[in-house]
Amino acid sequence: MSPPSRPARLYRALLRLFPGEFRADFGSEMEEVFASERGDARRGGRPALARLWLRTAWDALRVGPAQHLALLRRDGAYALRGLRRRPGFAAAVVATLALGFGVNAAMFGVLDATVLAPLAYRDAERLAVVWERDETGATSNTSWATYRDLAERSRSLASLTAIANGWASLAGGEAPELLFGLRVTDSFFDVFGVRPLVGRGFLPAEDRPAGERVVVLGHGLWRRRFGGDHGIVGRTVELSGRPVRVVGVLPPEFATTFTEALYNEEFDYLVPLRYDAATESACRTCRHIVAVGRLRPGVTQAAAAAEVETILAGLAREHPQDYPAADGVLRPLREQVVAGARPGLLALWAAVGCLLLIATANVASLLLARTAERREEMAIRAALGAGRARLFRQLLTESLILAGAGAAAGVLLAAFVLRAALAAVPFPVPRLEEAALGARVLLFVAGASLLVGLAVTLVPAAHLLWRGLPAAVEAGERVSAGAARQRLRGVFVTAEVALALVLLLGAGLLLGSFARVLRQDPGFDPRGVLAAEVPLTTIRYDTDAASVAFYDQALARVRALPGVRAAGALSMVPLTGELDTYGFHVEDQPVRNPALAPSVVRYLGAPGTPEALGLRVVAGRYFGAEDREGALRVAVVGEGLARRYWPRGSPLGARVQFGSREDDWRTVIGVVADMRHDGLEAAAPLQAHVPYTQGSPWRLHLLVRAGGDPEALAPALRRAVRAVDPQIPVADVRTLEEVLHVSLARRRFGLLLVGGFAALALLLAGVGIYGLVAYTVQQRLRELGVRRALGATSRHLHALVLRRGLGHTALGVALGWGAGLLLARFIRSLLFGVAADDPATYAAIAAAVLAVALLACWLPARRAAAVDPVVVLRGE
Amino acid sequence: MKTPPDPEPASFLPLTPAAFHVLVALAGGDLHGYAVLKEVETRTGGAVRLSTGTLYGLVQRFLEAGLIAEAGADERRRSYRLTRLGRQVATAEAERLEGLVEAARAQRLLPRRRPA
Repeated sequence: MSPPSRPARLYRALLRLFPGEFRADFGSEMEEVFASERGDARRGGRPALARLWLRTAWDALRVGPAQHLALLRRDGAYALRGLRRRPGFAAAVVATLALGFGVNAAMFGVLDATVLAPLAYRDAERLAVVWERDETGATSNTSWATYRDLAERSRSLASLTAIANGWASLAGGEAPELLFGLRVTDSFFDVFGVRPLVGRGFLPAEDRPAGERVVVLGHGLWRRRFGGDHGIVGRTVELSGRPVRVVGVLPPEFATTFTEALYNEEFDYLVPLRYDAATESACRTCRHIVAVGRLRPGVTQAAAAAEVETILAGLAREHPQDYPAADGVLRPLREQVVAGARPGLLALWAAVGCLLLIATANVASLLLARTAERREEMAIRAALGAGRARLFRQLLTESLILAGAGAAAGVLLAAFVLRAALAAVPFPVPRLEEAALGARVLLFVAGASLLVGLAVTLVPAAHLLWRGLPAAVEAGERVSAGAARQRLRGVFVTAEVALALVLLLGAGLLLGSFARVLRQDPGFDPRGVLAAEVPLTTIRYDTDAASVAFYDQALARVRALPGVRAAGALSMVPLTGELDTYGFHVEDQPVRNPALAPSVVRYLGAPGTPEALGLRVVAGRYFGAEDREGALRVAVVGEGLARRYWPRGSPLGARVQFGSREDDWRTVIGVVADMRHDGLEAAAPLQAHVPYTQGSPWRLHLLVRAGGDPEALAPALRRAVRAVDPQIPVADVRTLEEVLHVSLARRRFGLLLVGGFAALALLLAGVGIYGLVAYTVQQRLRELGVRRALGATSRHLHALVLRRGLGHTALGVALGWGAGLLLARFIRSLLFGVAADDPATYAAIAAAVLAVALLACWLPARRAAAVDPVVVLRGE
Repeated sequence: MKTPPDPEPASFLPLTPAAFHVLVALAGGDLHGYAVLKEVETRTGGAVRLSTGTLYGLVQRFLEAGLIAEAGADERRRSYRLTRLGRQVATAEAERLEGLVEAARAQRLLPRRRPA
């Protein structure tokens, strides 16, 4: 044959528009016909030839893709017909995949909203937060003086704002309400790119020490307390007993994400910072300011970070006594918000990814079983001239239909799961409420379903088309191909067991950790105790004497309430995250550098606190009515502090001081048990108590031990405080058991999720084992019948079947153990009191998996043992 | 696999003009692809020219639906013949078209036919 001419090659290229199968059938014939047509057209000269080409090309462009589409439709219809004949199989596959896709869609929705999506501020990617950094790499807030210098020296920041937090009480309504607010510079509105819904932001003149007192209301507070009244702007409201003029209201879409992540609380209002650079708290070491900046257009985060580092390193050189810090860091605002949630969410995503893998393996195994039934069908179609590509396409279409249906069902499932899960999360996760099944989630699921569809086609198709097909027509094929297929299914089941085991190990280790955390002694007895925060927010209490008098009266009234066994107070409730620490000094054990004094958690306490809290007094006594201003200044130290400073002797009578203020020495009069201040999992920090009567109390938590139900005391407690001063809010009334519960919420919820996923994984793996063994029994009924006829006992047949299922399981367990040990270091940081390779957990989980596998094998094994040889052999 | 019962000829209607022309061309006898093109072109006085894509798209569909069958092949090309079903379908389409023409006549859009 001579090589094809140029026109022939061109036409052949045009034929590429048609499906390969179509080309195989008709390609050469079409070339032939076209060659004849060309011969005709040549007689009409160039124009006729050009017309022919145009006509033919246009025709191919129309018909070629249409042929593809028709083929797809035909494959689809064929696949649907096949699936309709096997509704049980289709349902099993779709349900398995729906489970896998459902949890993945929900988790991706959460991840997308909380970690991937940009913050809802204008040009949010240009926002960044600045921290100071000390020589250990730990970051901290910055000070007013540093903020001023940074704003002045930076070229890469277009604007910079300083943020501090504050509280205020709002009178009116049933009871005064405690509000949480931010104190900000007037640049806040520029930096965050927010325009008030009504009114305006702050003027530079209002952000001065002597400026007029003004407030911008948050949208929530405005709706809640002022009925969304636009006329509120310009009016005066009373905050903490002080008249303040409302100048604006924030729009509802202004996201508080960053400050919420920072303070764990949404703010109700904004007031100007009104910083007085002359006050003591403006010092360089008074680090209570959060600085947020907006980068100039075109400046990268990296460039801005480098500049900030340089500026702060320069400040450290100019003021060596003020900065232990080497420098500062600038972090993208989004990074700041998501960094906390990311590791946990990624771990959960890995868990649901594992679940999808198991579901995929299960489906591949099911499809592989189905290929046995389809071998004949495929052989016939192959004999009728369908090429392997055509048959593969058919199989792929079927898998994609199944995967698509699974994905669709999964998205529906995810919609429910997401709603339920969002409502169930018992702790704040920034931006979690924005999680939804948006376009990106759907795209993710669509992509995943394509991959899964392809993956579950490959193995069965390879098996069927490249291995089973030619052999299918031979008589002796049956056993060998069947055995190979069963081996392959065994591989899938083994993989499922291994993956499920890894998830179960994670869940088991977390469960063990949780049990150990629960066994930790908090240092006090939370049962039957009610706590209530009583902050003195109004200006009436601007002297220590007034504050002390208020709490004296409030405590006296609460003690007199019926049903109260004991009442006391602390300035911080342990396990809530509040922190107030001081450098600790002992008179006869001086440190060379006061900055190196150990930091101690210092509670203000009240007489009766040990009785109310169940706090053990180890030595000496706690505070009494006699420890007042003017009397001997006293303190009580925790056991840990006593052990550290007076390892052999007694601390009683020693003189100690909190902070570096000169000459405020207190005499130690007692030792109490340590409380787990930072959570049950953290060691109790060094701690001490001083009486509120010898301090400056402004935010005590009343603690009441009830004779009966502590919650029943709440109304009476509120009334008692109101009777002393109706202007003072009572906030956060809750039992200490609730406090303890909330402090464990993250761990409990994570355990619940991982445990749930692991249980699902175990279920899927169990179904996989069952499917494999049941199918084997079905295939081997004849053989089993023969064995039975030859005298095998039912116990023997039982064992035969069990061996098959349990063999794969045992291998899976061994592989899962190995994988678990390899992955152990990723989970170590989440564990408490349990080693990541805890042998007891490993053994227990393996036993649980084997038990499930045993059950999954037992059901088909019973069928095998009960086989009646006569029936089986006659049925052949 | 069981073969499904023969489908109703009416279920294929209406045909596209191209499909109808191909069936009509084959009604005269077995033809190979190029001959079908030529037959259609001559019959319509050059008004209808099928291209290879359209032609073989139809051939493929007709083969699969059983309207035509392979009638034989030399080493370069196959020829096709109309099956019983194919003939029924072509007839049904012709009758459908005739019905339309009659309707047009009744409305005097066309001159009345001379009585035979």
